[in-house]
Order: sequence, then structure tokens, then C-alpha cells
Amino acid sequence: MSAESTTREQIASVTAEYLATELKISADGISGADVLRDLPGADSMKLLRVVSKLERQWDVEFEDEAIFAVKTVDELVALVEKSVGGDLAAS
Amino acid sequence: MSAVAHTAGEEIELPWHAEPSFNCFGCSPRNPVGLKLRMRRLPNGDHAAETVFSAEYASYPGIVHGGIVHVLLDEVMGDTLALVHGMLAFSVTLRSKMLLPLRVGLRYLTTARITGRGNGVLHTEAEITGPDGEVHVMASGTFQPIRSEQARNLMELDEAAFGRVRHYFDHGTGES
Repeated sequence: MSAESTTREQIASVTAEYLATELKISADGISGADVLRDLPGADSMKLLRVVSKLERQWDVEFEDEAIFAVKTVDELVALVEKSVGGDLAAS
Repeated sequence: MSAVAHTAGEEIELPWHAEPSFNCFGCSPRNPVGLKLRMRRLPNGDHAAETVFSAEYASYPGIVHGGIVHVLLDEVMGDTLALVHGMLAFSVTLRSKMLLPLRVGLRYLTTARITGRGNGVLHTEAEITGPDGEVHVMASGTFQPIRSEQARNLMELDEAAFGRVRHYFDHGTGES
């Protein structure tokens, strides 16, 4: 997926989809304010696997400290958004 | 360490094994301290190697050394490029996420594929999966095809050996 065609909504949708697949829960039940470690079935290994899939999806690499600073779903989406770059809010 | 052959798919004879000057730590069957990896082509098109590491490859007791894990990733991704495109390449960048440690004595499957190319490099990705089906490591690599000039300068090949392997060099990456 290219940066040019990526909106924040797409990033949020893919992030929820990856979380749902990894944790075996419904994507519909995931909200932006949810704390990642509090999601059902979440552990550090599964969350890191989601992060790796997001890096692959957009061919980006997150700073390790930025990854471990992320607490909520919205913060994870924002991390991807920042790495993908561009003015996504306007797209 | 030993390579085991339980994975579905076709085992591939690495064509460069016939070249006596090649003593690769990852794949040569003649390197006495190497990993002696054996590659397979899986039904989905991925390339893969199965491994069981002995305690000689440990870091902490019972845990496979992280450096050895990266040899494994580098080798399987590089061999995939060589088998698919007939080219030898240097790794430029390896990225990995170490999700779970690898344990000594257990069987792991490392799978790799080519994901893209451009600006003179090729991109690959790989995973190492444990016997429980859990992904232990996710990785990606960027590789640069080796030019014959580099091979001549770096590889200490005599003219006869260079002639036998020169077809592996000077490959473009196919981008326009």
C-alpha cells in the first residue's frame, strides 16, 4: 500500500484487523481508546507481531522506544501515520 | 546443529555447492563448523530451511544465540534470491523482530520470499516458526546484487574459479 493512497482511516482499519487476527477477537470490538495490553489475549509477543506486520504493510521501520511507548490503539495508529508520512488528515 | 528434511516441498540442490572455492558458513556441506542448511521450495512458492540447533550454538543455556539466528535469516533470504534469480547478492540491511527465543534441540522452519526490487536492490522477508506453529522471528532484508568487479576484488577467486561462477554476477534488479 503506498503512502500516497493511505488515509488515517485505512491505517486504523488495518491496525484493528491485524490486532483482531492476532488476538482472535472481533475487529468491531476494538476502539481507539483501548489499552493494547488490556485487549483480550494480548501479550507483548503478540503485540510486537502486530507491529512487525504493520511495518511490513507500509514498508516502514519504527523506533524501538516509540514502539514500547505506545499504550493505546490510537497511539499505535498515530505511530504508523507518522512513519508513513504526508498530510493524512487532509486526504 | 543439523538440517532435517520433514517439510513438505521439493528439496533443492544448491548449484553452487559444486564450486570448490565456496565454503559458505550457512549452506556449504563442506564447512565443518557451518550450518549446512538445506533449502526446500514450498508449495506456496516460498523457500525454506529446517534447522535443529545443538548446544554449541547457544547463548544462554538452552537458548540459540541471536547472532546465529541472524545467520539463518540472512542465509535463507540470500539463498532464495540466488535460487529464484540465479544471482549472488550482499545483504545491505537486515531487520528483525525477535518475538520469542529459539530453543536448543527443537525444530524450526525458516521461510523466505522476495517482496520487491528497485534502485539497485532487492527486498526479501522471512519468518522463523517453531514446532508449535508460533512465529518466533519476523525479518526483512535488502540485498544488492554482486558485480563481477566486486567479486574479483573481494572473493580471492582465481581465474578458473571466477569463470565458473561469473554467471552469478552483474545481474540487474529488473526495474525500469
